Amino acid sequence: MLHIVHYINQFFGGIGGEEKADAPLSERAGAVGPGRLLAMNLANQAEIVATLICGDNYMAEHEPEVLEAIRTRLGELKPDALVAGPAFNAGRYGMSCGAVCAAADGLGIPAVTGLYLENPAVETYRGHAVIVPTGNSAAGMANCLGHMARLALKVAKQEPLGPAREEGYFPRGFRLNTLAATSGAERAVTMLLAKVGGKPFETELRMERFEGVPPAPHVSDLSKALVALVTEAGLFPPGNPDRVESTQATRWGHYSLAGLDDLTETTHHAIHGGFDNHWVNDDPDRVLPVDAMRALEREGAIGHLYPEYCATVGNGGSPEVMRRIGTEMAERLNAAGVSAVVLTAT
Amino acid sequence: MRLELASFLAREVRFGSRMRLEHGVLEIDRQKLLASLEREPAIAWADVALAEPGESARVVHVLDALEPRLKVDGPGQVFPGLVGPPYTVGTGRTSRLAGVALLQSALFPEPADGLFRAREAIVDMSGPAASFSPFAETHNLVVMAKGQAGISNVEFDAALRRASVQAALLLAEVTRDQEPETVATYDADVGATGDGLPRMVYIDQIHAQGLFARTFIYGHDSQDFLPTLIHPNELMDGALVSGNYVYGALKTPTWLHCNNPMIESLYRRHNADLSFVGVVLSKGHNYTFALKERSARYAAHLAAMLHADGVVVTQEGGGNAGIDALLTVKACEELGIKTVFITTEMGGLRGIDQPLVDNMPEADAIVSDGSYEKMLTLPAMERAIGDNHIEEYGVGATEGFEINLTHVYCAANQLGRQRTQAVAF
Repeated sequence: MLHIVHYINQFFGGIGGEEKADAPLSERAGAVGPGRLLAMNLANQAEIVATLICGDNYMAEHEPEVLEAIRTRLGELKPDALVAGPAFNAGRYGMSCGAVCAAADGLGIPAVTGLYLENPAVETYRGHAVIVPTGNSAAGMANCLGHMARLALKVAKQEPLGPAREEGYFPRGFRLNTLAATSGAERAVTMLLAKVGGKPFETELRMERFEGVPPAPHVSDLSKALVALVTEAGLFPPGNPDRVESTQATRWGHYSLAGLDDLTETTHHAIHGGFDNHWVNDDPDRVLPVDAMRALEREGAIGHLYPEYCATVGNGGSPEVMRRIGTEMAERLNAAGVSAVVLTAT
Repeated sequence: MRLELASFLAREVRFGSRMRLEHGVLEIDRQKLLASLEREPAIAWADVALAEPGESARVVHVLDALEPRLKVDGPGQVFPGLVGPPYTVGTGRTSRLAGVALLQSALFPEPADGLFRAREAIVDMSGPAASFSPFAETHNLVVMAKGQAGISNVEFDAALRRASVQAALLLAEVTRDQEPETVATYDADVGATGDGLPRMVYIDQIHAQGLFARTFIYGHDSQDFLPTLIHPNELMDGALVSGNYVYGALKTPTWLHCNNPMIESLYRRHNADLSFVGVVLSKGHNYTFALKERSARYAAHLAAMLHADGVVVTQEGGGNAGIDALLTVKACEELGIKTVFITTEMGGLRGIDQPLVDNMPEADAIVSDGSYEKMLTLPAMERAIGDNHIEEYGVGATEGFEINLTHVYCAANQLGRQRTQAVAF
């Protein structure tokens, strides 16, 4: 028999309405309120061993302590899954459910909740929970609980979930390969006919907004600054000693520039898989402008050129990997007192 | 333009004393074939082997793949410009040996690194990689070759191409004076009014970047060209020959240029739901943003001159070329042409990374060809063809190992041949 812990707010917990939104975290054995209908839907495959109840305002005002207490309790109860809400379109309750799910997820306990499409908690927590789309109000409770129970059982049994559209949950933020019923070409013509004919169609990939990267504050006095060169152009000492890959790189290296005023085809070699490297190999200063930086050094325009450069290959680079590489490079340069970087990209 | 394509099916292939196709059995005269290949002075050594569907066999170092086709009526010859003068093809009648592919397997003599080098590409005839490749279903004649001492990569590439094209024709000759299994008719006309059916144009963005990353149009390496018009039937007669070995999963071998799934799907609904009025050929990897925009707008304008109601855009390669393709989609939409973009996705191993390189709100109708940034566990094979060793992975060619889908031949083909699709989880 699988074990489920259920999280609900003060209203569904039978403590009171809005006037009791400051109720602190409490626990009752077994199922409470909508938990009873949830338990029926879990049939004899799982039982609700405990219900955690917290006032929406109390959670909003004491979130770190409440979540810590919940984590501790989950560590003791060791449930196979956590179910929160459903919260429908309720803002604070939705955010509480999401936060509790995320806390469980952080402990390796799969979590399921139910939210209305416009609830801001969907965007915030879709990566940390299996969120079932619900209607706007608790009128849809029965349907929603059936659906939530089905998914809770699956994740409790550690069965892999199918695609979001098939299983009925908000996409959690990753895409995997499946086999469609027909070929891509056939689907393309079908989609085109619908689009041209003014009929509804559904794109298989929605354009995402790229996240913005806030720039660092400007350097107050460049003439005193230690400036470093960093590149993704795949420029390395001959032989590529760190064996950085020409494409989909997972590695990077740092190399001495001591005593170098100018780079040549004998000092460095590019192995980037995404552009014609011979332009760089003819004169590597084109991507790593050591000659220009030395001139700036002599003029006093910059304090010093940091005597080491960092390099990787950006071709086909996974953003997740590049974020790690960038962080590692930054940590090294920061520790050395570098205050500005010239980053070249191809 | 009207083309009859006669398909002759080879259900079984074996080496024998003659070149012949009889009752679905293709017999290949190995000596005659080797003699044809070794007629190329730049080729020092050649060998051929068969790889059959379902076999425990792996073909390594795969370069191009060709389908044996033969022009039996109408101007020109298949692979025009490489074989004979560049007469405009795509009319009359062409025979094809269906179910057969000629795969090139070779290493280039000179070392190369960076972009312009042939990357590893494998075909497994069984196991998990098989479902990703069209060539796990074809009877493959693998042509292996080595160049003469001191020969350059450019010379070897040209020699292997000439030899392979001749070998493909030699094989296709067995269909002469035989009865085909089926005859399909492809009849499309730019000027057709189509009885009110929506006019559809296919924008085929091909790979044209440099040595080992290029396409031959009527026999000429075309690295810098403005979008142009071509009739779909011309592709069926081998007007496009691939010289692209940079990303095995993403590239379009000659076989797929001739059997373009997008063209087939458009023709399937032609004169029923739509009027297929033409193909615009363009290139990706334009080196500056200005050149990318110039190419994208030019392609869209050609579609507009064809009075296109709708356009499908495919690309070859991805990455940088994805930007050219998305700009093309945007340019079409800005001209009021409804556009669908079909593409593979990146997304990283876990699928959490951005699927495409660029963000184009106008691309609101996208078909997914699946993600190629995934690993696949390949089992050991009894037999390897082309080499004993896979340098890229440092493994024996028959060993089981974890491969990046990028190196599985045509696994992430961009023309929509497979049913692989990436979906949100």
